[in-house]
Amino acid sequence: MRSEKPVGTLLDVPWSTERESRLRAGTGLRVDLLRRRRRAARFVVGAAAAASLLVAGLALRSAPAPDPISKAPDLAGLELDTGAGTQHVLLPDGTGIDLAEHTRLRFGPTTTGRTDVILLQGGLSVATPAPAEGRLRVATSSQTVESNGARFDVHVEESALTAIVVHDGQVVLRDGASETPLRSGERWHAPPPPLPVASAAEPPPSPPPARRRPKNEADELFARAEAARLAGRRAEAATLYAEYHARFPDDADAPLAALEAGRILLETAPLRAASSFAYAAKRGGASVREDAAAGRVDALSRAGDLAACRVARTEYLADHPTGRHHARVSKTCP
Amino acid sequence: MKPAPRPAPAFPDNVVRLELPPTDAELVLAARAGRERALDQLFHRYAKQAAGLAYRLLGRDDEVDDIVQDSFAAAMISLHRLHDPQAFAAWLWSIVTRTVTRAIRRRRLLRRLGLLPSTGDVEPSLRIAPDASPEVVAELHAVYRVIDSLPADERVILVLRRVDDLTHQEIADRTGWSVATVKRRLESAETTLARFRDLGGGS
Repeated sequence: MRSEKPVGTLLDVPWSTERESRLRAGTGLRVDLLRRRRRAARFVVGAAAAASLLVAGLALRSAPAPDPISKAPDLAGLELDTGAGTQHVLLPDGTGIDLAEHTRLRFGPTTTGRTDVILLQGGLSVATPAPAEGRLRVATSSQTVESNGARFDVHVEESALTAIVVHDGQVVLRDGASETPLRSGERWHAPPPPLPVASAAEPPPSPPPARRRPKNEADELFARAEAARLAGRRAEAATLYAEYHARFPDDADAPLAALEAGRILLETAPLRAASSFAYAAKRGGASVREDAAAGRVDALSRAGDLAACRVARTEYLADHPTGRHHARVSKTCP
Repeated sequence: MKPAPRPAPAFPDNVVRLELPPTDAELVLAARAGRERALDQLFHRYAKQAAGLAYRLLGRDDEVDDIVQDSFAAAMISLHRLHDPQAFAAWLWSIVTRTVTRAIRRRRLLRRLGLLPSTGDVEPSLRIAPDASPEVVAELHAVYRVIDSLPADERVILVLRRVDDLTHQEIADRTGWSVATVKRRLESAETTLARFRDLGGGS
């Protein structure tokens, strides 16, 4: 039913200024309601933290000989998981932490005024109040980010640091014996892990010889990736999509899987996203190719790799002069 | 006494100075800065289209107002998450589409639980413009007769494809499903539609 005049325009609702005004007023009420619900959700988180503090305080009071190092109230063990929403946590020392969607963290023991946050998945925006008051350490399985009065963002994928952006003050990244100080305006990105492509900026190698894929196994893997994505388990979905295009690179859906992985990783792991997009842009059909090429420009821009971003942008604009992302891409990494 | 010369007008009398309306990006940025007027302008600009989209996806008018209000409320409260402010419209259409999909699922669940009458979801007399050709009218009736028997996902995809004329990629962007999923579900919906026509339901 594709005609010159879009069929959708033939099917419409009656409209009037009265109906519009009524709906605008109703929308305002619903916005207020949503805001109240969000505030209530934040209150619940705050109350949980307060209850945890109270329990920890009582435990300390009843201890026979308190360790001077452990005098501070302890949040140890408190776990937060934002699921599909976002949360704000205010610590007793005034440190504010904004938790992104799909973020999981656990508080470690608080010692000598320093709070340990073990970030398992997702992203945090931290604002510690002043050098003398707030000290916060964000830890993963092998690295730590320590601040002594700063405003910064941290992203973690699969328990490994992927990005740090410092807005104010200074933080120190410790990885084993090495220390990297990061100052206001600086950002750090983890090097991309080895994927089925060579690098973010270079096109991937040519595909291995075609081989028959075990169809049921591939379909089952793709379905698991889709289910994880629809359920909001983004990290798991990205891993499964990456596994799909690594294990079945000659499959028709492999570029699509790479494109989906790239979309998921775009915010939290832009360099890995760029790799996935590069793969999809090389191997995909027309629509996948164009989306992937545009996604790669976005990813490289977010990763701060302006030189590679400009190359990718030039490629996109040359390959898709009338592409649907043309306007946006042409303004990226100028 | 010699009269003072009149100051020259900045523009000739026959020139009307038109001001360009603000772009979506300008309105989004103003709304993020807390200007209520910008939200009003965005609502005025897109509410009618949002209602039209909701009507086409639902196939009836009685729930359209709720969908429009819920969708705009969700958009207004999440404006800070919109990566490209100029892409407000596309972002809003995806919110409307997902809100409708949830509404269809909720309605079906209530019907299964016996909390809603078991009559069809689509209103019997669609509001089709009088200038539509007989072929288009017949096609629309066929699509809207068959969508009641489809799962919510397939139903939404079929309408976006057959009525709103979107490509697979555009449908994927609207719904948040992958292109492969869209293709699979559209194929299933088209099969049901063809079977329905074979049984004489499209005439």
